[in-house]
Amino acid sequence: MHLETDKDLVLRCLDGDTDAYGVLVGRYQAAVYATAYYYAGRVGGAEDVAQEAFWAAYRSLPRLREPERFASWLKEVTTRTAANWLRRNAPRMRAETPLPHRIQVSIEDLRQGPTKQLETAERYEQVQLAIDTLPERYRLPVILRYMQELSYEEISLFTGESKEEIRGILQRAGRQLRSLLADLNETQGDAQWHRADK
Amino acid sequence: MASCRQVDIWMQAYLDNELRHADKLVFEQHVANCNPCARQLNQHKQASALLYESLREKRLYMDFTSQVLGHLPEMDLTQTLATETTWRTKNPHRLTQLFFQWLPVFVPILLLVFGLALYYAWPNDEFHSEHVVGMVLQADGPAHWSREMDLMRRDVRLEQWINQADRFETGATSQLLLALAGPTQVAMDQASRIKIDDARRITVESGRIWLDVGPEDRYFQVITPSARIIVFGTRFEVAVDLQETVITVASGEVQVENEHSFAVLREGDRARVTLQNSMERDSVSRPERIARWAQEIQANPDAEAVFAATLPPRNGVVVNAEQVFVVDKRDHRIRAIRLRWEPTMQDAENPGEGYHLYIADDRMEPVYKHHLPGTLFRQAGNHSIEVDLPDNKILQNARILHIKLIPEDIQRKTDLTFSEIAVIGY
Repeated sequence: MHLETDKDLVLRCLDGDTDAYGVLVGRYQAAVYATAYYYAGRVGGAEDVAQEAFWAAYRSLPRLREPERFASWLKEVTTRTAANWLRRNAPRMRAETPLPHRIQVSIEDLRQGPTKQLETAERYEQVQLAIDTLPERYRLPVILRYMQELSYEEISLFTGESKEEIRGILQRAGRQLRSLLADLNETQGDAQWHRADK
Repeated sequence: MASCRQVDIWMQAYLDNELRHADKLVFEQHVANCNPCARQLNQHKQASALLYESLREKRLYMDFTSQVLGHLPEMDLTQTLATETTWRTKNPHRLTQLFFQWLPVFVPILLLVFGLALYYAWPNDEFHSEHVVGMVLQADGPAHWSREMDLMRRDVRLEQWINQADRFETGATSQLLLALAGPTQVAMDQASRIKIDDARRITVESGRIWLDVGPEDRYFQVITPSARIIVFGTRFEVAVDLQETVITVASGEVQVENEHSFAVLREGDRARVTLQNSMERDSVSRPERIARWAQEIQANPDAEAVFAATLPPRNGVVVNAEQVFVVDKRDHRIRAIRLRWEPTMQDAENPGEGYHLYIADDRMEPVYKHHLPGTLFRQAGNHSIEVDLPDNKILQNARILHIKLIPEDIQRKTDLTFSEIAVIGY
């Protein structure tokens, strides 16, 4: 199937064809959502930000000078929307900072080790921390890759970096994450190996 | 076979299924045979799995296309209308935009490059025939030259014209071969500095040079801190350092003098003249081996051709500017000599050219030298003067005196003709 290019779709939108915008939303909602999540969504609100971003993009679509670069422009719009959203909601979010997980542990659970629920929550925490230690530039590609499983091509289109840059970024990020998460994996008890010494 | 390093670079792309098919095969083959890489891959796989697993929970599964389309706002058309008329919107080409975006950066750079190019390409050794006295025939290694009253040192180029008063300097690794009109070839060894006063006179400030002076109707002279060297067609080496000048003659005849004495050197002779005005003479055993270094500098044939065409050799008659008289004084004690010269047409406006007087004995060993200023000749009405001589033993013991007169400005031809030299006894 031959996909319509972003440029064609944008030009159709500018002619008033809202279905064409629907195709663009379908094409990029995963990336926009992940970006929104990365910038603003740790405590909820990623969906709101994503929808707002699409509306903002539609509103200012006539301002897009290079329709073929719609994707990276959309990313800019998303980050701006996320920043605005954060500014509006930051006071409320502070008040709503969730309490530490309260987990009920039974005697049986204690006998079997940590509960599945605890494991997941802790692991998620660890992964988040690991991602936060990455250089700023690596984080969004990592989120796009692991959260939405976007291909390198899609990530490059969306972030505006070349595919080779994305390949390099993910390779370096992957290596860092591997060493950061190695300990975590080991404590899970499902890895009997050690890091290979070079 | 890929290296472990390459495999490590490929690892992420392999797990993300973003490796080209051929690379993938190489990767798998390597991992199958390399335990450390296989362990790395396993570790990487587990880290990836952990990442996918943790982030999947937050993944977007719903499709909010309809929600977005359901509440689409109006497009903001004011921007388009406002910008439509600008030049950029009419020319949305990316390259054009980039061009204007970077214009403030590369215009100054371009100007700078042009400026530098112009500065370096500016002809600074233009051919002014009245000042050009020679050409650089070979430049071996980085050497510098400068012009009088101009402190800037420039790089010496092959086929560069040499003007009067140019200074040349070789470094620790460079040698130069210069040609002066005449023709004279001047080879400069490493770490030497000379000044080309004109085509027939150079000043050696330091270092070692070799001269091959072609015969011409004018003397060639070399000035060093401790000596003055006067030559006709000849080949010789001059080495100058802080204390002394050493002159070694390969062929021909060279007259070396300092404040008090002079010497005539011939093939194989060597003189050492110090700043304290002492002069020692000896000879070298194999004159043909003098200055072998200089023979190794070969002139560039193109430069030689241009030089020969521009400053052709002077094939005029060799006119000896020196006038030599031999006086047999026998055993008389003498106190002076009398010089008589022929009156000339220019007597009245005679600029007052002075002469150097050299006296040598039977064996051509130097006995006495004296400078006769030009005013003497102008004032003397009867075209003769007397020069007092010292009453020393060498002079009085000599039987035959060789008396030589060389004009002060040895570039000019003789303007006085001496007709008679007589010795005056007590």
